[in-house]
Amino acid sequence: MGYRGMHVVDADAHYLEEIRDFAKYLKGPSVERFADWSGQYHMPALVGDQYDVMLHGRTVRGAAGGKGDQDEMLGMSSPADIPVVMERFGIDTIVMIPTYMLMVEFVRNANHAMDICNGYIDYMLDGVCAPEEGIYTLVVAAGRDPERAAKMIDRVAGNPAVCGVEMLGSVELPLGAEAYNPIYEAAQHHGLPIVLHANFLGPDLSSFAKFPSFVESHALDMTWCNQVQLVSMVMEGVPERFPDLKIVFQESGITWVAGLMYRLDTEYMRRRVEAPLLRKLPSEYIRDFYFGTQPMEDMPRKHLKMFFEMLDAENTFIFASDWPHFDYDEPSAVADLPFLSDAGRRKIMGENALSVFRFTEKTVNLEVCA
Amino acid sequence: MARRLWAARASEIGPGERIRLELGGLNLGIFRLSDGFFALEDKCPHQQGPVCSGNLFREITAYVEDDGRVREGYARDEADVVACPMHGWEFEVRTGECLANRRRKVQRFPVEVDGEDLYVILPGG
Repeated sequence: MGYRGMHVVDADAHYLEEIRDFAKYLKGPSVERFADWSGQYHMPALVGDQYDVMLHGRTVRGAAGGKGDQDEMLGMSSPADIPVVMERFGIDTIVMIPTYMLMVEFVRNANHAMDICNGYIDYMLDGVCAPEEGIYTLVVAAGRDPERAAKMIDRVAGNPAVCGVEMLGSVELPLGAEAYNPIYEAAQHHGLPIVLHANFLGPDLSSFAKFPSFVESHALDMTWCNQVQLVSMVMEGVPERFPDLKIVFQESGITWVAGLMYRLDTEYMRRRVEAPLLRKLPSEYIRDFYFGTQPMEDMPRKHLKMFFEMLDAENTFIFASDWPHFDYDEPSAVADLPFLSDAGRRKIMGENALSVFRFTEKTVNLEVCA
Repeated sequence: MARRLWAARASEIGPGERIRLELGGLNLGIFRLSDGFFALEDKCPHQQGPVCSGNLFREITAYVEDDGRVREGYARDEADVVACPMHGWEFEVRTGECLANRRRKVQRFPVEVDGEDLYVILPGG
């Protein structure tokens, strides 16, 4: 497989799970909360997304067994769909994240949140993932109960399909807080990166602003929550406290990082006294982080090139498609950028991810890398 | 030198429908709207998606009323905007122009109707 002779890793793709299939991996009352969910009593306009993430039919994702046009846009709602999608995009290694888990930080009941986290990772490991085929997942750690989240990481870290720990941008307390130490300790101990995935709830329930439309909310919330977490993790010294922990930011595009990086440097030069744990400039820590490329901003190439240079993209960027969501990127959106060197292109499309994530099966496509 | 290539029988395409075909080395969609047939290349200028397989919609527009309030509505009654199924970019079928940015276009080709036959005029071969 691969794309243009490169081993391609997709660091962020989403599984469209059937909620009732997932329910059998839960325990106690959580089972009925999912298995017996009525699916009623909420009008579509009143569940947080009056504009519909898929734009009321403007974006289309087909179902398995679809005909003609649907095949070109196959979503991933069954394990059998995943290899088909990988083949279509030329992806050799894929990191699958269950879609509903992006919302777990909005579950305010800590017991319920952790039940869901435990059930979901069991669900993904029991039949969805297949590391021998390059199909991996992240164990999602709810920030509401770091101690139990750490125990969950310990419980599943030995599974070869687990390649990292995911946290969500909408955590209640910013991620620099010491409260999250158990999660970071567990991830570092097992050699798993922390992958911070941006998220939001749509305009009606937006956590950050009171925008009336999806386009406003999605444009800002998805970057803002990662900005909050990046500032917190850098300035509160997470890289100093956990020097072997690798940190990845996903699904905010890439342009938001550069301005923030230099703003933090400017602030730090004046107020270093408030961040005494730091041993170097904030921008130097940030260049040790990794950034998923999606959604790559649609902008003039000469300006995009500058952002790549500022962030040392060839060593810090990781291709992510976000398939099958509405704002996904084709591999060509990144791999075909004309200003990349051949070596840099290979790193961004696969090699950086291979060194960051814990892929137990080094399913590198040796043929295409030769 | 333009090429005039036979593409389809007019009766193959019902009102508000389209066909997709390969013609003269290009993937095309031929749409039938209220005032005729329109051919677009089946390639989105964004990320090369199969734009002609997308669903058709009426163009949503908005205007400011005398009281300063914004009202939404449809620009026309006809569903003559095709949305690329990949990311939802919307294009006018008649012009190929992207509604969000008129400088971004799907390549459009003239269609000639000769009795029951449709011909597409493609650039030189």
